Amino acid sequence: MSSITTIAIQEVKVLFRERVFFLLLGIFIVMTLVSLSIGLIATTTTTSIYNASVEFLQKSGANNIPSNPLSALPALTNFRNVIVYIFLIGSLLAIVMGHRSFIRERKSGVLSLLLTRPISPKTLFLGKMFGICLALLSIIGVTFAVSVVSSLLLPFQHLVLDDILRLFIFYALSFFYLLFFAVLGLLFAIKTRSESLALFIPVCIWVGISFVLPGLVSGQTPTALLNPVTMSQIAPAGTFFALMQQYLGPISIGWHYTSFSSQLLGNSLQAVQTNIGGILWENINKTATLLFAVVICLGLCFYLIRSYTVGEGDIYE
Amino acid sequence: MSNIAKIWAVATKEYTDALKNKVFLVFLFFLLFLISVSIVVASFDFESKVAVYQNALIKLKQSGQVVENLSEPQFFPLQLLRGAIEYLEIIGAILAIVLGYLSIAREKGNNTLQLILTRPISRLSFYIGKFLGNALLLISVSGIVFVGITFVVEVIGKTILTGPQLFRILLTGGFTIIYLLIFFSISALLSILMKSLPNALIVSFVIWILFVLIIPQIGDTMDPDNQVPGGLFNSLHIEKANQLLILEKFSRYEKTRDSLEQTSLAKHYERLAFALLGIKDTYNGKSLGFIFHDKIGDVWWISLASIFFGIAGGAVFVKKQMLWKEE
Repeated sequence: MSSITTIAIQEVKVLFRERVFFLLLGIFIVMTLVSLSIGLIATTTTTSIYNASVEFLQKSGANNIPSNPLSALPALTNFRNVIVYIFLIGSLLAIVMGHRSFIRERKSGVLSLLLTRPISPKTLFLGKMFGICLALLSIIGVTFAVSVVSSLLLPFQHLVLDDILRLFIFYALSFFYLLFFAVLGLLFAIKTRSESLALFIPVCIWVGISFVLPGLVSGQTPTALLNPVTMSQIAPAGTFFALMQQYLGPISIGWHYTSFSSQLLGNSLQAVQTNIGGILWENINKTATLLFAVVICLGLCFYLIRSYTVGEGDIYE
Repeated sequence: MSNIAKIWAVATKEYTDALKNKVFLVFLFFLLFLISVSIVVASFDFESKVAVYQNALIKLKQSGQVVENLSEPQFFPLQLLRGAIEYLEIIGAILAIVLGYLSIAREKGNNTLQLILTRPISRLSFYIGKFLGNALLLISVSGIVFVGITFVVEVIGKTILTGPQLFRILLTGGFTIIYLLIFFSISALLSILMKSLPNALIVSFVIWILFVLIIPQIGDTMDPDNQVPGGLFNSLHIEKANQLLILEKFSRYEKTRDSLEQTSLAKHYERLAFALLGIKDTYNGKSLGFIFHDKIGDVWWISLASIFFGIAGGAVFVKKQMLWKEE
């Protein structure tokens, strides 16, 4: 067994022992089920309100009443709250996962001990990354399975093959989004001298990615950005927003994640009518930016960890 | 040295320590930056609405159609503060969590608490000193933020705020301090109670996510009018009075949704601030008497929560044996 595999297995074992893995898994499953319940309740009630409104309008003698905007949306739309939960909770927990993965070794003095053994910093880093990826993949995989099974258990909410494929792509995208934040947590856990600062800086970046950049690009307030219906709305007209979209749009990965995910989960009639191939092609730049951000962070981690010497990285707080 | 002098000495030490702390300063500048950005974005958003209105007006006039139905967007400078209040609600709470955590972590992590408790100062005086120092810090933060807000609104909005408007900003600042003290006390309480400081910080963040982001988000998402972009009733062209008439049949659903939102202290702060600043149209132009009569529940919620967690922190600090070093 290579050193990388040993470290990766050890990383997963620690995640199990610290209950971080189960905490994450539990939160993701609860998020999925809550999302499905909220989606179902809200859609059913809104449809009833629509019917009551139509009745009221017909009594008032109104003609040309628009059709129910929700009736054309697929069952998959009930999962749209999951986007918000992964965007908010998932990414923050991924930071904690990446942070703890390296801070643990620095605080306990194990890092110095490891580096006296025939293990290079590169091997240590790769092992940790494989461990984190494995844990994230398992969590995402189980959540995907729970989503499909829960939809099968509900009447009139069954997902068709196209829906399942969309859901699969959404979770694959979510994996890379979470991986980015886990690597960000790891990056500052490697670089920063203080344990608290190593957690607070990625949290600041998380706020920037989740609220500031999408706010500048879309002109929406933080609360509106958390509403799955309005989160992907286009920005108001004007030079300022046009400039923001031109210069900040391409790097706004939080905005990319939510808008791409909204399309995948059929958040609007237009998104439902577009086939998966079309959606993927339309969002190829967004996916590339996210992957590029992951690679850049990984590269930075790799560069920083290579310069480690015995005893240098320990934290004595 | 009198008891008050001892409390004051701890409070000033706490205040100056926080000002030297990088984490606190990072969050403070970040908050100021976010609030300024939110006001700029809101002003450009308003300009964009005006431009859309004027374009529509020109087009309608050119085609000889009636323009009476088109309503001109009204400029209310305090409405530019919507994003700022939301950032205070979200990021301000993180700042308060950081302060609460650092306040206890400094003593636990450095083992200074053992030394201090050998000196002639009671645990209660020590905690009151810490609380006072951080409360003064939050008052200063709030002062800086709201003076900054006033300045940015006047410059960006090209307007001079009137006395009553400034008073409303002052009142909102006061309630912001009360709101932030809740999160300071929760974070300090957890840092006292839990053996592992990083775990205390993570649990504080979990509470923050749940009560500041998730519960309000669920309530907002369950709002039937938020299910359709632009609003369901708007898409059906139903007026406000008739909307209420239709919604009467769904009062149980609305009550459940409202009760869910009521469990979030952040939502109480948001509702109160939006009413005071006239961000919510229902309260725009209404007297303070009317607003307080309507929002007294929100005032009670955040005030009582602030007092409760403040006292709980003090009680636990006095009672709990925490002379161990952090894990």
